[in-house]
Amino acid sequence: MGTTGPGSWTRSLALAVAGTLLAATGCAGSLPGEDGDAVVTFAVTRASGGDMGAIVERFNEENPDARVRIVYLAAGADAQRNAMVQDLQARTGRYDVLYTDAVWTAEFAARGWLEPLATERFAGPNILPAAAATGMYQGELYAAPFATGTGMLYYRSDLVDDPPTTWAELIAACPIAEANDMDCYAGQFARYEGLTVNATEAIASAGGRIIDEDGDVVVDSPEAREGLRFLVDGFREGYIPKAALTYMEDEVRLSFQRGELLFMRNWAFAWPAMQEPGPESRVQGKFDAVPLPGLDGPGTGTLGGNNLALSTYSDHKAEALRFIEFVQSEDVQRRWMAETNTPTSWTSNYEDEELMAAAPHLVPQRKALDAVQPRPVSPRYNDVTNAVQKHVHAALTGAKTVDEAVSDLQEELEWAVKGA
Amino acid sequence: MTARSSTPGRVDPGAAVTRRGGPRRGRGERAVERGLAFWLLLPTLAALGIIVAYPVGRAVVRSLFDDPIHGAPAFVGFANYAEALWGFERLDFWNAFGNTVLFTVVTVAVETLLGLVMALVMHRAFRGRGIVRAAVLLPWALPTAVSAVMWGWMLQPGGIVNALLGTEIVWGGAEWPAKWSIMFAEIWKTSPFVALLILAGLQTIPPHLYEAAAIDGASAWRRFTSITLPLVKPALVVAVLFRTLDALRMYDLPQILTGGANNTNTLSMLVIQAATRELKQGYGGALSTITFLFVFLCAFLLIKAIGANVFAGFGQAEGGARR
Repeated sequence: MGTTGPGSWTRSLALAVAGTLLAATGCAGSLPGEDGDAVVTFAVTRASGGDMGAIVERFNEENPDARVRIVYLAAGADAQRNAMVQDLQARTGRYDVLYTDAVWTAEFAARGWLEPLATERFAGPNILPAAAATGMYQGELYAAPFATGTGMLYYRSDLVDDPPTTWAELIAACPIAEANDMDCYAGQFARYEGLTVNATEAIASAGGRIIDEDGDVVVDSPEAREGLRFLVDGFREGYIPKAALTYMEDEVRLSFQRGELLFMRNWAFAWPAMQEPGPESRVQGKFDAVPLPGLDGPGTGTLGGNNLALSTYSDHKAEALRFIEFVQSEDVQRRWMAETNTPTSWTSNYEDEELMAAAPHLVPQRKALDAVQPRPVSPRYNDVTNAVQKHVHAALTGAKTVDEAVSDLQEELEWAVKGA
Repeated sequence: MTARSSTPGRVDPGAAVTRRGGPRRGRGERAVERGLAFWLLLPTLAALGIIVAYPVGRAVVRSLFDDPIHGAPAFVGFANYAEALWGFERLDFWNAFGNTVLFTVVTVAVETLLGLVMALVMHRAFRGRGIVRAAVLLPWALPTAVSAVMWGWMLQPGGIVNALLGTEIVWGGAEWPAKWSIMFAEIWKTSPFVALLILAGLQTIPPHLYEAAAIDGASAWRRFTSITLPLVKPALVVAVLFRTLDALRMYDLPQILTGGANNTNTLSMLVIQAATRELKQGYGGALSTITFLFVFLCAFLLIKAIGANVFAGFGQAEGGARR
């Protein structure tokens, strides 16, 4: 027995039933608020940070022959992925261009859902190499890099003169926090995707890796233990507050902007939010950001970001590629950066002085993007991140020692990527 | 119910009607009626087949296949089941199983007691009863996801729960605080439901029974144990049954509150994790089939253990009330 998909007769029955239902409600195959003339559908999260609708409008004005309609997906990453997976599994080709998370590339590509893209066209020399890496799988480009970003160390510039470049220096600065009745350091340590990011960064900053370029699990190494120990010791010795076990991006930002934290690991989005005038933030003008610290020197951040991918099942690939090229173009990216104050993939925009003056944190961000390591790349990424979260969280809460956590993680990851 | 209450010696209005109408109709007429009934039921049966039987059947069949990244799944028999029960994933599975059972037993026990007390309070006539009833029902009216987010905020380290208790517990930072916060939020949310069902039972008890007992000199405690409890038992059993089945499928509250951290995964969370996040429909199908069988077994045992004599008692109670 080779097939398990629904048999052809059940499929046609299901189609007939669905068709009847749709016809009965008078909306067969259409989407609410649809642009009837559109040939390309762009599926994007409604929480992309900027105005995607405006970009689409501008494209449509210039390209009346390749009109794009926008479909807003849920804000949460899981829900976005579910919507895309459902469309791709059903092979409808309803979504032509997908706004994908950096960590979905490997899985979507391995399942044959994404059309390979021309590297020179979509990841040429104008594109940051770090951002381009998140669109690659097994040496081919499957998603055009767009939004990118890595973690940075935010610090209170009114209290700390020389920002730390190593963990030892960071820990040595903690008495300043104590003297000011603050906590010293926090990142995202709740059990969710952010914990995988923070754990990957800690392990990479000590010279370790979770999964190497060949797809082999290599987390059981002295370097990985050393990296994890920085976080585990933080909770044990108190330079990371226990409350950080429940922190996601916004919780830790709120703590920092209330003046309760000396150091914080966070993304670029935190900068404009904390600079906003008003009583919400007590730290305007009192903080700065630098690349992450590491074990023996500067640390290694990991990459977040969103790319533009083309569905294999699209019926309008040429038009879709033109749209991807437009969204990725220098001008669109510059406007996006000015609008959102978040980093994107076009290199030359970081040399635009006007832009950098308006968003000064993008200068250290650009620097940090030169020393990054992607999150583990695997078509079984969900299994991988789930295992990382489980064992690292257990180590942080003290339920497991670092050694137990690392060897359990090695064992579980080997199992997870097997046959992938 | 109908079968039981038509035992000799008891008057069953339904049975009487049938008997009265019976002799006047011919055999052929009844056959026609039965044929008509079949045709009238057919659309419903077809709809149920499409929306219930087919998906469940597919999931069970799918659970016998593996989950390759690329290509067609291959038949692997019961390997997915073995995987969960004693294979590599057994620790996750049995932890989630244990959590599910723990959450169910603790929350249903506490909810039943609390619900009974709340129902007794709501049943009494006093000034402001309407307000008390509305206030008690409020937690049940909130969507679970909303109340989970709300509890998440209140249970933050600097949140109101710690402020009121004067503690500095990180509720999401260790196993037992996390488990208790889930169970507490669940009890807070669903006790009103139990109370409502029990209240419905209380309102069917005729007041003259209490009056007669009071005249006979029975104490309040005696009236409670000899009249209220036995007569409200059917409603109580229904409440416990509903709640047990519901709690065994618990998903949204722990998912939002802890995300499974600190060993708080439930079986349903594992199913979602495997089937929709990891896209392992075979393994996920096996997990959901196991969960389904377990819930089914629990329901069966519950009805066997407490259901049977209660439903018998229900019939007697009704008969008594009518007399």
